[in-house]
Amino acid sequence: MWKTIWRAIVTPSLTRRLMLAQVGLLLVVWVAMVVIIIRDIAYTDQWYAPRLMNNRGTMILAVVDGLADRPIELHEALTRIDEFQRNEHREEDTQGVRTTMMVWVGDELVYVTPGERRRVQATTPFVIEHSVQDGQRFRSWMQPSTRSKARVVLLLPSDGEQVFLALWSRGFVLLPIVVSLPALLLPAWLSVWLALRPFRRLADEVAAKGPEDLAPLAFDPKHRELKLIGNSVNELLERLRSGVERERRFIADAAHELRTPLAAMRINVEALRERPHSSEDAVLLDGLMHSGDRATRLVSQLLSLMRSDADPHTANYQPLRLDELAQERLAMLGGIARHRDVELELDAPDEATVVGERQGLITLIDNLVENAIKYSPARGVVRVKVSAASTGGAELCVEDAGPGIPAEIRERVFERFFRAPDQAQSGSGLGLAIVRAVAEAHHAKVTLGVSEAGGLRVLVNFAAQA
Amino acid sequence: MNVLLIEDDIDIGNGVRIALTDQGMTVIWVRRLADALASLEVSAHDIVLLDLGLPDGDGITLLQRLRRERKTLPVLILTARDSLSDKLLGLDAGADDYLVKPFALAELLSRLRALARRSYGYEGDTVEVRGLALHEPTLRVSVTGKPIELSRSEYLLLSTLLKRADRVQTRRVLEEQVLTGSAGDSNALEVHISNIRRKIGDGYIRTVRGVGYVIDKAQSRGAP
Repeated sequence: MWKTIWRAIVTPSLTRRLMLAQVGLLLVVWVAMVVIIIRDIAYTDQWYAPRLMNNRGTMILAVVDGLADRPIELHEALTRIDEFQRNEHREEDTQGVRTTMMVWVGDELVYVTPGERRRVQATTPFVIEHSVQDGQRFRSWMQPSTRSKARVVLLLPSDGEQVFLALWSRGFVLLPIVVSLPALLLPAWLSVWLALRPFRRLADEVAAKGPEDLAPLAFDPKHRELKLIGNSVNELLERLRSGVERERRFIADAAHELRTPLAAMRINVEALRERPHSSEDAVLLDGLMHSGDRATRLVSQLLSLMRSDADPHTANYQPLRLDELAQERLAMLGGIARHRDVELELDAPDEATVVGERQGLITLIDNLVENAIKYSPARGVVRVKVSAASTGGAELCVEDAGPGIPAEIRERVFERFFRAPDQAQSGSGLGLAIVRAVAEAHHAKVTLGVSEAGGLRVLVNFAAQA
Repeated sequence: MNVLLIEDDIDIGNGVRIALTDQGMTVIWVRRLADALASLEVSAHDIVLLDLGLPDGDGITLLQRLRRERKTLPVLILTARDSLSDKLLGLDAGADDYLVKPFALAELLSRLRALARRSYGYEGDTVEVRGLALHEPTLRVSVTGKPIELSRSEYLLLSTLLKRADRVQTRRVLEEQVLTGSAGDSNALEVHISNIRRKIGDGYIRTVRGVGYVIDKAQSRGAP
């Protein structure tokens, strides 16, 4: 689960890119604000704070000098000033943050902020100094009296604390950004997500396309960037389609053209066979006939494969009675079955209707039944069953008593020109490829299994069609 | 039999010519439409074997012209075009039969004979398979010379099976042909067939379960 989340995080996405760009920009703005404020503080220390401190020191020293002979009133006045200073910037009255005051006369400490342990007697006058005492960093201001030995020392928070305080006190500038930055993430993500919706629609449609579907995209985006992508995809599909179509037509034409020389060869061999010949010649003539038949079958299978591969959108699909078609085709194949001494049996008790193309379905049934007859032992039975599925589709099942197909090559036998090893029968290796091509064009599923007699069972499942 | 072969492919033309001549037929072979028309003018042919794709035109035009002029001359189309629409086009234009290349010599001969028979009016004569004979003009059926009495439906069924011997006739075709009145009864066909079998004996009509029935010209090797 963590792995999935991590992968989702590291995989680049346009949404994330846009998001990061937005967040990055906001961060830059934020940092810029902070820098401006820090610079402002540095400026304050150099120019503004000394003047302010000087006034403050002068005021305090005036009180100290004026009340020098009345210690009780002096202490009272200094305590009030100290209290005012400690809460001046609405900061907490805590050590390290507050402004601390010490008043010296000579070496005598006249006043110190209660609870303050640091003692600073003298530093460079009229300059804000940075010092460390007891591991505590702070800034200090020392101002001597011009009339007496009195000195006032003010301890101020260090730079870092000063920045913090400054940010705090300037919160009215930064607070909106600090608060809105995380709150901006959701609307930013939402807006990006919404804006990219047509992009996702295009991607979804391309992804949903099957390997055989080369029709142009149905989605026609209006956006400039997407239109470019959509048009390129459509152009690519068009080029692919015309390429595939050209190739298909070439193979079909080639197969078609091969029929005439094959016909010529056959009729010549047959004419020769009718004439007197020796028994050795008969073997040779049979060989010629046999190979001629094989080539003929291969050519006609190539033709039907190319036809079943044709664009399904142009084919003539209509509701057909599969049970009647099976009866018709089995009657046509009765001759071959008898020739091989194989019995055909049809079980089609119900009406079974499929939406399909007649020639394609004939090719499918013929190939399955011819295969079953070919691999059946003498006096074996080929059972064909047609039934209406309860879901609305139909099912065609062809069973033989032959050797069957081992489970490990059941997927491979659908490949073109694949022939099972140790094959006793000659064949083109195209029969099942044709069956699958026709089935796919009809949205039907072909499953191979074991028949009751231990041979092959081929199940073709036609899905219900709206 | 006098055959006019119109075929532009030299190898096929030669092969068919020799094969048919060996069978005792007289074959005139032409390779162009123009020659075919000339030959049709001067000689009397019993049958025409017509290839569709010819160097100087389509065989269909010749067929159409032939049908306008002489209606009865049987025409058998020989072509590599095998689509249903091509077949229908040829048959609609007036062809009597249609054979797709490559074809077996035996099939060509059998169709030629069937066409010739039809054109000479032989069709009404006796059809006979392994001693089972059917004489159409008199509606008489006999097994090895012994006459058999059949009902009308039984006669129609048997004549369909006999005339198309070796080709399995589907239940649907048989039912449509002979049982128009009682279409609702699904067992009617079985009852008729079993009656026929009782009368002519087993071993003639073979059941192809679920598909239909067939009369084999040769006795089956296995069961009756």
